[in-house]
Amino acid sequence: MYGNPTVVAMRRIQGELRDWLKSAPEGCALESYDPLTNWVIIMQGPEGGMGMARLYEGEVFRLQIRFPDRYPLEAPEVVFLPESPIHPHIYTNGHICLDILYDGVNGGWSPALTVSKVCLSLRSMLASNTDKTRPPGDQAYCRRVGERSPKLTRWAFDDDSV
Amino acid sequence: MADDSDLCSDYYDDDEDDESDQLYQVDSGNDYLGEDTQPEASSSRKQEWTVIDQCTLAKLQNGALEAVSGIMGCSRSTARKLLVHFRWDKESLMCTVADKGQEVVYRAAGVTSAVELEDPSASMAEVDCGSCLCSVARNECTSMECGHIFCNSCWQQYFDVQISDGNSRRLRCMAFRCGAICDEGKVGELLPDSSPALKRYQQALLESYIEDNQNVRWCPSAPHCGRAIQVDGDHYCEPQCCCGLMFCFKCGDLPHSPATCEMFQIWKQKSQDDSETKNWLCAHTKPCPKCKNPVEKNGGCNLVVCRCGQAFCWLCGSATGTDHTWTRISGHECGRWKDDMDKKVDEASRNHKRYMHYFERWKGHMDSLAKEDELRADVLTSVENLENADNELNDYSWITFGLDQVLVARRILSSSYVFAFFMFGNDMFKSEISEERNLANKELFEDQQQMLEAELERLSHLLEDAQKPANKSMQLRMLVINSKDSIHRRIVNLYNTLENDILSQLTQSASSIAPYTGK
Repeated sequence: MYGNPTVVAMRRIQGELRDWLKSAPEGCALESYDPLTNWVIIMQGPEGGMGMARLYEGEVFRLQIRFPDRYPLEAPEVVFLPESPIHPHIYTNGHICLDILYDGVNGGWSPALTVSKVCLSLRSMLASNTDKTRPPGDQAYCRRVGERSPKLTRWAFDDDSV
Repeated sequence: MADDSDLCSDYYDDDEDDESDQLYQVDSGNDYLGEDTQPEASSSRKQEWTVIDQCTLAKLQNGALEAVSGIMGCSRSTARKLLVHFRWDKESLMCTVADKGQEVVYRAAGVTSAVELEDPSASMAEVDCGSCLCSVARNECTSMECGHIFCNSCWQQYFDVQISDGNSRRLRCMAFRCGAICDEGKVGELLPDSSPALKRYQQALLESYIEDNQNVRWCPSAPHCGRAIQVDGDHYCEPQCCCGLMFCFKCGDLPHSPATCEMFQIWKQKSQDDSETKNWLCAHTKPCPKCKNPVEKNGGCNLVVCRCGQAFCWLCGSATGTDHTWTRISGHECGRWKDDMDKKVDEASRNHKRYMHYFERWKGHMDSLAKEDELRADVLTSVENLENADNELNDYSWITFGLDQVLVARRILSSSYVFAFFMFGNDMFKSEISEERNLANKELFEDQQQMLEAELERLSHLLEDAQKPANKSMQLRMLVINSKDSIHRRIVNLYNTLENDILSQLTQSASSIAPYTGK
């Protein structure tokens, strides 16, 4: 549920915003946070170096975070706004296949995670990629889910290598 | 057989109380069916089951928890985490511990955390709660066994959400990638007493013994009687719950031995849907070439006229004119197609007749079973009255035992027709058994089946006589007892034939059946 956050959720989001403004994660900047439960973050493609490929150097992506009413007990909804990075775990519609973004039995979300930590994870996911392709079945998936939230998709997180 | 239900009759304090108690008393007389059940019969497979109600559930679960905590030297809470992870299979738990070591098993079951703790904050006066990001006094925070600490209010809300999402049995620590299961004692302390979440949590832990356990199944009664059945040994069996319901433990459906679960499922489907109607239509009607509606031939001549006015030839199904003689339709010739058409019609007609043969017998015995089952309550009352009134011959249990034998035999006989339908002359086992062999089996099986049927009808008749007050003679008593024993022997023989001569020739595992357990 969205649009009617609990007191705890509001306090927590304010806390995260305070921490973010004090020290934002590397390569990330907050574009907007109005309303407070809907953030847009600018994320720069990680530079190469240290043996890493420079697949996303110079690219800039926009990430949208929607906080649910029961945040942080429930995971935030995290999607890339167009154009989403080309990556084997990121679909054209911006949906991201990463376990920490989802609740449920095989999801890895924990209330101890923050937007800041999520951003770091996403950046390292981009940085460690070596194969700039879309996931298999990308077009079919995008057609099937339409405008639905990625949190309604049943994800199978089987690949930790990328 | 657990017989603790009278200990617990006060557990059910709602309206159904009276009814379930009554049912139970009726059925307690039936215990001899299972009590010292060592089937002298066909099978050496172990057959034991226990009825679990809310009282025995706690007892059984405690037993399992204590056994594990005793052997492993761990707390009850740890024992529960291990057992839930291993679906209450103690042997499998012990084997894995011996195989892979305690540490690996503990981590997999969520007893210990998968991550190391960063900062032990035990000594600090205030704690930065990682969930609400607030500083909270140490005494308003709780750390789980894994060492992760959060404020009480965050724990509480987290538990609320997790429990209402149905994760009670795998209630994990809030820390990222920790994976440790929260200690049940601490969950109990953190949630307010008598909160719905706490109740739900405790009930879920309790029912884990049933729902996560491969040896236990809820009684499928509707409305649900609240009990479950635990089977120790072979899962192919047909236990009876205290509520009176008997069911196949393997598939949860009505008892159907000697038919296999697969046979029974197909049979049920077949007897419910209209596939046989279609067979009948195929055998007895032909579609009109113009309007395609099925037309039944009700006269002798092969020129048929549909209600839509179209005339057609019954033999080949094509449209014709209406001029005809008794032997031929003018301008129409289709003789060389006749053989083929007849063959198809014959086969559909034969299949339909064959199915109806088995269906009528199955249905007949099921109907009788329902009537005799109704009769049972009356018989019990009249037996009780007789035993109280008549001082000379004060044991009338032979009537009850006789009737119980009729019920058991009736059920088996009825299902034996389902078995025969699929076993003989059907495609189900075509690849596994030769036609000649199957024909010989059929003869063998039908001999046993018919002998059982004859004796069953005799006993059923004798018992009807026994209902008349004038007929309580010693002679009748002997006849009933002898007939009952004879039925038992015939069932044993039938199952011997089934298991040793017929099913043993098959290799499919799906051809296992629940053995006969009468005595």
